[in-house]
Amino acid sequence: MSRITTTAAIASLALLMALPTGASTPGHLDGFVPAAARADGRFGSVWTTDLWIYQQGASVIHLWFNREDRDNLQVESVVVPLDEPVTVLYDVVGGLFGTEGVGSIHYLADGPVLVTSRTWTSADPAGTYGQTIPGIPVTDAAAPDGGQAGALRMFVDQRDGRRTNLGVANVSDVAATVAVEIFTADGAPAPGGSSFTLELAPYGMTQLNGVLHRLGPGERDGLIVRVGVTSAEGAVVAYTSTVDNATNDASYQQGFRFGY
Amino acid sequence: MKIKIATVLFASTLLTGLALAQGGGMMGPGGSGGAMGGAGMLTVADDGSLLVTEMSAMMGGPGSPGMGDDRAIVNIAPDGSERWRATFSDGWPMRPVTDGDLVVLALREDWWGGWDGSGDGGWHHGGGHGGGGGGGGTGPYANAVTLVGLDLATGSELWRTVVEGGMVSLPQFAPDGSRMYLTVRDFESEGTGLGGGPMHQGDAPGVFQLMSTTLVALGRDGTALWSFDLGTGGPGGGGGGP
Repeated sequence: MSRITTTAAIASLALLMALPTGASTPGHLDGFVPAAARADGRFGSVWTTDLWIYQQGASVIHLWFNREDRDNLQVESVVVPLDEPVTVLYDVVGGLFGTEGVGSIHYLADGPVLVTSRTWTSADPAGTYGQTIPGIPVTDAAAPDGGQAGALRMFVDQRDGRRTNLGVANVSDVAATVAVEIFTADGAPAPGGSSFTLELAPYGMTQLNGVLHRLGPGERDGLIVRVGVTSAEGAVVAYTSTVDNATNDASYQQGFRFGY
Repeated sequence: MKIKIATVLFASTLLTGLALAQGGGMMGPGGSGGAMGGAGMLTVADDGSLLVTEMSAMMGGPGSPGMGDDRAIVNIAPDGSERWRATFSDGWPMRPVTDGDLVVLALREDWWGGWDGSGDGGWHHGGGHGGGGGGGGTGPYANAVTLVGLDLATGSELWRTVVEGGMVSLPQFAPDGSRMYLTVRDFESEGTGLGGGPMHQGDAPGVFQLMSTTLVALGRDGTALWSFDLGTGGPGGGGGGP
């Protein structure tokens, strides 16, 4: 099976960025769930991911679990037949992939699919708290030369008692350098370590827990987290997950491109 | 007549249901089928009459009482009277285009396929669709679209052409009306893309390798004139006559 050339992949992404995609996620073949887990978190949380796949025309899907902070180029797929309109994979990291940890899920189907997931933790004394993490078509990724409009943005409030985790997943088969910049609501650079870079291996993923701690203590409204690819190649998706430290109630925000 | 569109690799737009700049979008799974199909899609013909799609099966939804199976193009005179109604038992008519006395529409057998039963089956699955409009496809989804030419004055059927592919664009007429063009986007359903077994992520084909886009030229009588695979820059698998 031939491998995508990076040049072709980037050219394709560049072409897509010129098209009026909007921010919708209609049926697509190739995408990423940027975060999935079977892992212990802070403040007693234990995160588990359930996955739903809806198909309209697909008969098979390949799924890869891209564990954080490593090169996942040689990770082997798990093939799932799509016999029904909806396929549900509870505890997908442990149940399907037979592993533990935090990572992203890459999927590639032979027909249009929509994928969504819920990553949840048990509540005290009963029930669960969870966040919906939809699958993102690779077409919505940020790619080089996209400029500021092509970078991914998320909005967060910095609050005592909450932690905000920033995740970035490389959706390409080459390493990517990513610039992360955090701005205050008026557009000025946020204080402290608000600007830094990340190096992502091919299909690598990283999650920076408590990323706003870099700004120093305080409460800040409307912070803008901007993620852009600065390397010549590579493409990424990004998210923030803000978790209430008292309850572990989490809210997820997908990075969006302001322009295409 | 059947136009075989080769499923070759093409670094084209990924499959996100993107609307085409011209023509409003693709018709088919994964495309913006809703933008092109459905009841009430309206086109104004050169003679001033109106061409409207009618699909009563759409109106109630799954299992609704009185859900019919009316799949038609209705021609309405400028005074609001009905001139003719062309019904189809073998497909769902998409929004028509016209040039002079010719009406052209795409007929999809599988459009809104999930609603012909009691549940949401999505697009017809498992090859049971018969290839879409008689195209004879064997893929897991409808993989052919039937183009139908109608006489604007009477609604009588003039010709049919089957185009293989998962999605087709709204046909566009040449300025002199002698021919029409459309693009066909096809999923790689014939096994060269995703094999049955696991694969290393680094070996995974790109989305653009799982689909192709081909430009097709048809004569005014539906005859295939030529096709051009936008990925390879070559013929898209040939044509043939009606």
